[in-house]
Amino acid sequence: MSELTQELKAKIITQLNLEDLTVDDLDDHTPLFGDGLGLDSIDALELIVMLDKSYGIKLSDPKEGRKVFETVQTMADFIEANRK
Amino acid sequence: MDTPSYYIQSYCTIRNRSIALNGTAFLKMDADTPLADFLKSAYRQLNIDYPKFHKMDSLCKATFIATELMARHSGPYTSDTALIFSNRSSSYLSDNKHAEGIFDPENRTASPATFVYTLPNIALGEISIRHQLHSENVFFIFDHYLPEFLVPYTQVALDDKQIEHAIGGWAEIGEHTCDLLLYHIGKSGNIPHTVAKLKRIYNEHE
Repeated sequence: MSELTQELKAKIITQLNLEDLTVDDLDDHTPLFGDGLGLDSIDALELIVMLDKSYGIKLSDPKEGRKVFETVQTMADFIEANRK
Repeated sequence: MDTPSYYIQSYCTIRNRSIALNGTAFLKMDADTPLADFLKSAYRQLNIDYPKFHKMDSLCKATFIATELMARHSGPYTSDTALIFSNRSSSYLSDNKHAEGIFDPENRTASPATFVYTLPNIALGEISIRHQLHSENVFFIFDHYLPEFLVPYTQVALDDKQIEHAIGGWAEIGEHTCDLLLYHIGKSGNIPHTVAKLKRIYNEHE
């Protein structure tokens, strides 16, 4: 799982152009939206595309995204449970 | 029409990997520096914390940097400061990047982060967000820098709306090139907002 969280952090940083962050700066439990990393709605869409492209997981319910994208850890848990 | 009723309070030029504010160099880098690296260096030199900058396309980054610099000289901008921009290629780079994604037969994907920049007006939105502007704005597409149009248009627009300030100019971005002149105008100052002056300023940055 740790390997997956590290991979996710690297993908998030690259995909979302978080230039000032490194993998080490990003804690597994830091909230991705709101007061945490401060991602916005476009970032959320990018994360949905990333799940589909990289892990073959399609998020069809927007409400589901709110929970899935809470932290790197919740994303990793979701991917582990749903990856194809 | 060339009688000034407005004055240029500050201006910024970006060309050939150099940036000048009111004719004074702010940053100069080697001509072979990639445009993205050059713009990133300029952002770092501004010493601000605005992570959204890194998500912008080159058109937004260049106009963001220029307006940020001018604000340091003649800002803060009043919230009704109009934005009257122009260029030749609109948002072509982002349009093309988006098209490459959606027409890629191997991996057809639309990137939301790219798609949101497929209009030149987005640069105006980014500036408005940064400087809290709630103002008139327009982005013209011309074959070339055209102060003969911009000066009278700006004056009429400001007079008509009873607005005292505007940021205007030209911001043409290629894959490796940036040709930009933005200026902040108001009712007072020493540099007249005229076609002749804007031509001179545009050409002084070689």
